[in-house]
Amino acid sequence: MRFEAVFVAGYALLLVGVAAGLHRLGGQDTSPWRSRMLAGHRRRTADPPPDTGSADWPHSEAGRLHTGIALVTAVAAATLSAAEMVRHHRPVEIAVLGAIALTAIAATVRLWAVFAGSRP
Amino acid sequence: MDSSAVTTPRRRDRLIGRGWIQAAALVILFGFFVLVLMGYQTYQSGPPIPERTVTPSGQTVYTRADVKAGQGVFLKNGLMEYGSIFGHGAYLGPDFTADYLHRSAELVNKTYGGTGSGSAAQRTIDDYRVNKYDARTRTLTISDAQAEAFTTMTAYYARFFASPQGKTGLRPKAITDPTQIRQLTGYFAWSAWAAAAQRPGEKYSYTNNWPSEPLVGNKPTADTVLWSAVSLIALLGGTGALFAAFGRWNWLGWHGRDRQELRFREPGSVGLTPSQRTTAWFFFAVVGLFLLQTIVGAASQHYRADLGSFFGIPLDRWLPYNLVRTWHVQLALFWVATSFLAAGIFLVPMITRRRDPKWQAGLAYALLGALVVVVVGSMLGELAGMRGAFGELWSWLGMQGFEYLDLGRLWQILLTIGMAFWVVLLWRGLRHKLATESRANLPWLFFFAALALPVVYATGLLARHDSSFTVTDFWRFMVVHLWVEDFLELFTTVMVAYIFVLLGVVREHIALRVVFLDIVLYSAGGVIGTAHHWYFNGEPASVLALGAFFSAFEVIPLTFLTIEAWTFIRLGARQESKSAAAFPHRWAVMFLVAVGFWNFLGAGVFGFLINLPVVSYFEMGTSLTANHGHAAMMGVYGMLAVGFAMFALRYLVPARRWSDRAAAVSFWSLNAGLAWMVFVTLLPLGLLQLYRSADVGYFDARSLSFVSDSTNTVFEWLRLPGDVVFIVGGIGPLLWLAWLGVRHRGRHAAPLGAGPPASAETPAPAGAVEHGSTGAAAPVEQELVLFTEVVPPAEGVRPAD
Repeated sequence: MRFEAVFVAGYALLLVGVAAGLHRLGGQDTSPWRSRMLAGHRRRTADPPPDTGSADWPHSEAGRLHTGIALVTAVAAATLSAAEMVRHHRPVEIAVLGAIALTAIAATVRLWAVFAGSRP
Repeated sequence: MDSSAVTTPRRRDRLIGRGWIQAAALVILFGFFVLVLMGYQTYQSGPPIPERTVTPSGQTVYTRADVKAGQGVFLKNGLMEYGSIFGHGAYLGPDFTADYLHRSAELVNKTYGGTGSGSAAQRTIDDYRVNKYDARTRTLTISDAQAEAFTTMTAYYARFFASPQGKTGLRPKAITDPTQIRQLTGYFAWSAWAAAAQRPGEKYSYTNNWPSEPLVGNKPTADTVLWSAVSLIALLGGTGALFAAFGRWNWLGWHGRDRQELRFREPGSVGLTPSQRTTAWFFFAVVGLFLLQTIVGAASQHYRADLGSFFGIPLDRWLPYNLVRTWHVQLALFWVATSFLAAGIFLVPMITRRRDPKWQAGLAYALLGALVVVVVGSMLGELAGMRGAFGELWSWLGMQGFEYLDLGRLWQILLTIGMAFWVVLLWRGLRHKLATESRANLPWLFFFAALALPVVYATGLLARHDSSFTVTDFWRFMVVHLWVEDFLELFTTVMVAYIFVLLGVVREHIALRVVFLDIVLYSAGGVIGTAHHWYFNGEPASVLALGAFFSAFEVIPLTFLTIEAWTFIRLGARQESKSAAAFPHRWAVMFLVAVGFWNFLGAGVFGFLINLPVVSYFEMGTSLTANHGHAAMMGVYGMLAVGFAMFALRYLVPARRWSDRAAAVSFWSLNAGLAWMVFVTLLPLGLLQLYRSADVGYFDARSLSFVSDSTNTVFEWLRLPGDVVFIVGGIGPLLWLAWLGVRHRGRHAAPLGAGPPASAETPAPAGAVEHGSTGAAAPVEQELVLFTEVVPPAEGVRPAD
């Protein structure tokens, strides 16, 4: 594989990972109450604040923002891999870039389903 | 009874502990003390400009006057917006320090026998590294080979700048005067000498051995490596310490239960003052300037994808890269600043709940008119200035030429006066409120943060085109870093905190703690951290050390405050669920959510990626800088400026004409377009360029041949879809909403004072709920209705925070 193809393959794979990470981050409950950081504070306060879930606004929208950016990132990974296959297409390059492009497309489809399904 | 007690309103008590104020004062004093010390070092330790540079036989090669005049030629032709000097400037053209150093060193090496000669390499290194500057006679002696290289390089730059074909991004025949070419070459030659000649008594050059250049023995210094490691430790240790302390003491105290109830009013039921209605025109100007900024940005991006022509049109004849890049950078500051000015004007009556003072709306229109004059005047000045207009007055009326301070001094002064005038407008609106408030409370902090903007911006006036570059760069970064990255950030925090207080979702004393924490954290890292821009521009190694260590702390508040912002916003969610009326500021808050996201990614992650000295050494002036710049500037200040516009437009546009769909399309398009720009083009290109710089050399990574090679070109073209989404989908709907704002200008809104006065039976302003009356004997005036009605907790229920 030529240097450029190796770089794009590695970078696109990184982007797929970033997309998965961002989506996961958006779904996290960032409640400071539950955070381990506040263990000391929790011990001293018997009365916890009323809970809000990840489906409550605007946390739901913040999650959508993360998923939306993750979607863009996954599309970017698929686009870069496909463009690189047009430029460099030795068998091994096609195999590696194609596999990464398919992974990115799968991530795109999955993220789009989540993104569209969470429309308020 | 004491009559003075009746006539003089009592100031409301301070809502924050004395410890916070003392901590903020101490940290600010320490930060600025060190900054002043670094300023002193800048004047003392910068590379000298020799009176004469001569050959061993005494023949003059170039003079101090040539170098100074060359800097003038460099600036007035906008070359800092084309390439860079000492790594500072734009990213299309070469870095002229590295360019001269590499090309001249090759010539010298060839003179000594070239690669085939065993001694040529060492003789070349000796020529450049041994400092032959005589401080007593102020004369620099260079070798005959270096003098010969100077002559060859003068001819090279004559061809480069006078090229009739263009194809470089510059206007064809941009500089043809042989005298100017010689002066310009003298300036580049001096910068290259400073980059390689060892400081007296040291083993590294005036620029801490920057740029990387094996031909002259330039490689990272021990300080560069050591302080990079220390910087990493500072980041990890500082973050851990802050989070641990926060977890232990819960300083901010907003994690407790809050039992007050909020009821949101329809925007149409909130009366607007005439000055608030003027902001419709401000926000229309904001979106217009934003659109123009992206269009010239697209043109500058096209040069990176295709240097030859713009789809067959020779764009470089009329709009060369350095001009569109200048406008792109200047407009970014203009439209964001205009939004901040408008938001300030819009907020004041909401803070005071009073009608406008006399002539306030007229003065606001005058301010807008003045801004238009400065924007149009400075842009035309830059266009004409680059074409040689204005004679001796070029730096006053034309292109002053420092990146981000490109506008002529006249326009710079007028802009400073404009901002001062804006502070006066705020003061006129606020003065009754200020008279009844402790100077440590939010209204005063809002005023102080606003006052700091013209004051800090004015320090940029000390960057003079005829000073040494190291000195001008010191003052330039007072604006680029201290103003943009610290004081705008502070003003932002105060504004956002105040909006949340007015919305009723955060109590005033908690917002105050956030503001003071922000002051402490940004002053600790940001003020001294300004030095991370000065690693390699001629400052001594101690400045590099201070910059590396303290700028690491800048990332901590970005991480910390982003996490806290979630709590801030979640409180809003909790309160919203109790209100029968819909929350009207859904999209304004969404833009704040985006600010939090990009603050962490663009400013925090991408900023720290290039912050370590050893990374910056190879990276400076590459696409990784643009990656950080776009994600942080647009992601944070851009999104915030749009968020302010959304907030105000919600009142200025009648409900029946308001389109949440337009706001949604704009929001998603701006975020998707920005993410595409970053992930598809700027980040991968930056990584490739950084690798090239470390692998082959900085000169090569910044050369036009590398920047426009086929790999880079593909990445540049792939950016196109994202930019289209950003401009069409992001700014189009925004322009429509801003136009609706101008068309209606809040005329549909309820009459002023239609709401009930605050009393025991009716809700008091958000900040007054828990602290009683805002003034025992305030004049009886019906208060303006706010957008949120705060219902205090029932008798006997105590807030648990």
